[in-house]
Amino acid sequence: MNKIFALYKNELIKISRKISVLIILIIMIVGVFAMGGLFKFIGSMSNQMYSTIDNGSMDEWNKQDMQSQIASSEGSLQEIQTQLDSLSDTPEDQAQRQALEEQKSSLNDQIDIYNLALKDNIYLNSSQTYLTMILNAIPGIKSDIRLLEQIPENQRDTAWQTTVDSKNQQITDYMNILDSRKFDAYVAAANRAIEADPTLSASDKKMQIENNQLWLQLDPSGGTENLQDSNAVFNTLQVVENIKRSISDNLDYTNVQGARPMSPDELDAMKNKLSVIEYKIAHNSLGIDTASASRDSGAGAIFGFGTFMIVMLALILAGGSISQEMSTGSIKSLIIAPVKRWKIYTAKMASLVTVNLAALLLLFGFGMLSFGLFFGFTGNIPYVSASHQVVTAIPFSLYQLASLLVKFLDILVYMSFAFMLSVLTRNTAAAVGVSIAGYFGGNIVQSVLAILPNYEWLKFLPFANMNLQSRFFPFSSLMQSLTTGGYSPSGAFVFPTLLFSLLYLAVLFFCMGYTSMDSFNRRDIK
Amino acid sequence: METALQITHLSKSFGSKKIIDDISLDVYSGEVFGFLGPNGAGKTTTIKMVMGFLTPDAGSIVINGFDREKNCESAMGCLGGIVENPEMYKDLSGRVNLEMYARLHKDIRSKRIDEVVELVGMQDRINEKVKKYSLGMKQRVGLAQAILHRPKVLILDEPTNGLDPAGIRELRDILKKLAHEENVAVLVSSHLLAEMQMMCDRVGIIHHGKLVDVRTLEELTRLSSGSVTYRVQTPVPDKAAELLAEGFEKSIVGTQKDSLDLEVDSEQLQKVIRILSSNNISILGVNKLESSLEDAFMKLTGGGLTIE
Repeated sequence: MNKIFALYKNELIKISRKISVLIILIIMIVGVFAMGGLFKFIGSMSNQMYSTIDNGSMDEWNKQDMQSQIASSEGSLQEIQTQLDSLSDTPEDQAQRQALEEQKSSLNDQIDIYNLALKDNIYLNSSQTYLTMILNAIPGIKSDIRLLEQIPENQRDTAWQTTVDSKNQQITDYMNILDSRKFDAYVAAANRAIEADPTLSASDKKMQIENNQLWLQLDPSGGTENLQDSNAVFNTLQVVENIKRSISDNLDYTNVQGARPMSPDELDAMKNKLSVIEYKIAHNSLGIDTASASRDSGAGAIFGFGTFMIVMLALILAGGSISQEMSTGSIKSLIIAPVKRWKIYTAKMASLVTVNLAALLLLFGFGMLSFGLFFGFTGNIPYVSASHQVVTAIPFSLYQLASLLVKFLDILVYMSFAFMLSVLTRNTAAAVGVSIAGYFGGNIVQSVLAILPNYEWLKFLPFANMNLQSRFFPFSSLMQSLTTGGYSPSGAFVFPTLLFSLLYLAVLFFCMGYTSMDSFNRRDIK
Repeated sequence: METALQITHLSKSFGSKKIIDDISLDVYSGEVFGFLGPNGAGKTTTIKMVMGFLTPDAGSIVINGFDREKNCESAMGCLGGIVENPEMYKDLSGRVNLEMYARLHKDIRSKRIDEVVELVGMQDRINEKVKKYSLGMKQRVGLAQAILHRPKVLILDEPTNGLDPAGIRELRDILKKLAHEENVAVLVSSHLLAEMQMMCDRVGIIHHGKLVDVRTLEELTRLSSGSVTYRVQTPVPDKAAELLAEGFEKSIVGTQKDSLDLEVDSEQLQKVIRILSSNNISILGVNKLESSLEDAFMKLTGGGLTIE
C-alpha cells in the first residue's frame, strides 16, 4: 500500500510538470469566462430585440392590414345583401334568408370589432393577449345571444334569462375592460362566464378557472408586454393543462401521437412533474422568462465548455499515460523499481482520477465565479425534483456540482477506454485519437438513439447508458419543455433505468480496466 | 563465495526465434562480472529478464536469495541497474528523478541522495532538468539512481556509452570500489574486450544466445601473456631469423619477404630488439598482430567482437 501511495505521489509530480495539463487548464478557465460573457451578450441582444416589439398595438402596416380586412368584410356584406334582395317569399327562400341574415349579423359584428380594434389600437393578428381574446370572443357571444333570442317567448324560462343576462353582462364587462385595460378584471369576468356556462362540467370549469388564475399569476400584463415571455407563458399554461387532464383522465395527452394510456410509473412521473411545476409556481421560480432562459443557457455554455476541456484533459492524459512512458523510455525507471506492475497501473489510474476530479472542482469554482460575475451571484433558480410527489429543492450551485460529478462518470469510462488503448496499442496518437473520436461518436449515437425504435438490444450499447445527467436530474429540462409546449414522442427508444445504466457502466469500467491491467502485467517491455 | 545473482536454465524466444538458449550463470558478491558478446548475442535480453522487463519462457532468476518470480519486490529491492540508455523524466530535474526513485525504496534519506550525486560527480548540475543533460551526464545520474538504494546486485548495460575517457576511468574506479569494498555483485555488459579486461574479475562470453565460456581475469591474462604476435619489419628477415634462432627458435612463427613474425611477450620483445640492433640489423617497425586470446574469442563467437 505504501508503494502504491509512493507511485501515486510520483505520478502526480509527473502530471503536474506536464505543459499540456497547464495549457488545457488555462484554456478551460479563459473559456469559462468567455462563454459567460458571450452568453450574457447574446441574452441582452435578444432581450433588446424582443422588447422593441410592442406586443398588441399596431404600426402603420398593421392598420392598413386591418383596413383591408374591413374592406373585404364589407364586400362580403354587399354580396349577402344582393343575395337577400333576390330572395322571394317561398318557405325555402325564407330558410335561406334566415341563414343569410345570421351571416350578415356576424359580419357586422366582425366589422364592429375591427373598427373597435382600430380605435383602441389593438392588433388582432398578433399573438394572443387578453385584449385580442376579448375582441375575438365578442362576436361569438353576440351570435349566441341572437340564437337565444330566436327561442319563442313562451319557451323562455328563468335559466334562459340567467344565460342571456350573463352573456350581456360579459359583453358589458369586456367593453369596460377594453377601456380600463385591467387584466385582472378580464380574468374575473372570464371566470364568471365560465361559472355561468351550463355546457361545461364541474371539473372542466375548475380547470379553466385555475388556468386563468395561473395566467394572471405568471403574466400580470396579460400578454401585452414581452412577446417571447408571453408565448412562453401560453405554452406553459398549455402544458400544465395537458398534464392536469392527463392525470385526471389517466391518458397521456402530452404525447405527439395523441392521447395514449399510461402505465402506473408514467402516471407517477406525470404527477411528479405537476408537483414540481406547482412548487416552482408557488416559489415564483418557474424560470420561463427570457432572463431566466438566458441565465440557463449561460450556465449551460460555461459548464458545457469546461466539461469538454476536462474530457480532453482526461483523454490526453490517459491516452498517453503508458504509451508515452514507453516511447520516451522513462517506463524503465518504473520497471526496475521494486514494485509490482499492477501497483504501477493502479497508481496511474488513481492519479488520473485525482487530477481530473481536481480539474472538475476547479471548473466548478471558476464556472460559478464566471456565472456570478455575468449573471449575478444571487437569485439563481434552484433545481427542483419530486419523487412520489415529495418535492426536493437543491440550490443552484449544489445542482451544478452534482451535475458535474455525474458527468464525471462518463469521463471515467472514456478515460478508462483511452487508458486501455494506451496500454494495448502502446501508441499515444492512436489512443488519444481513437478515444476522442469515440467520445464524439458516442454523443452522436446518443442523440440518434432517442429517435430510434424501442429495440431491447439497444439498451446494451454503451452509449445508451452514458450521459446520465438527464436521467439523474430528469427535471433539468423542465424549462425547455414548458416554453416549447412539451410534447414528447412515443414508441421511441426508452433509455434503460438508472440502476441498469450504473451497473452497466461499472461492469464496462471494470472490464476495460482488467483488460489493460492484465496486458500491462504480462507483456514484455522491449 | 556468496552467490548474489543466480541464473538457471534461462530461455527466451521472440516468436519462433530463440534469443536466449538455456543460460546458467552465477555472479558472486564482491566481483565485477563482465558479460561479453557481439551485438545481438543476447546480453541485453538476459539483463532485461533479470531486471523484469521481459518474462522468461523458462528458467529461474534468484537475486540475493529471493526468487524473481515469487518474491518480486524483495528481489528487485536488492537490484539496481541501467538497461541500454538511462532514461529519466526529461521535464524534471535530475534530483527530482532521484527523489521519485528513492520514494519507491525503503528508508532512503535525502543525505543518501547527496552522497550518490557527489559520488558520480553531478553535484553542480543535479538541479537542472534532465533534458539539458548530455548522454554522459545521464549515464552518471543513471548510475547514481542504480546505486541509490545500496543494491546487492548492480547491473549495468553498456555503461561506458557516451562517457569520455576520464569518465570511463571514474566509472571503472567506482565499480571496483563497490565490488571490492562494499561487496556488491556487479554485472557489466559490453562488446568491448579491452574494456572488460580493465574492469572485470570474471568474464562470461555469450554468443547466439548461449553462454560459451566463463573465465577469470587471471585465466585471461595467463592466456594473453606470451600469446601476442609481433611483426618485426626488417629488410633482412632471414638474417634476423638466423640471429634469433638461438633462444627464440620456437617463437618464430613465420618469415616474409620484409618481415618476421614472433610470438613473444613484451619482455621477450625487448630482448629481441636488443639482439637485432646490437647486430646492426635495421628495424623499420614493430606491429602488434591480433592476440591469440582474441583469436580464441573470435573462434568461440564466430567473429563479431569489436577490438579496440
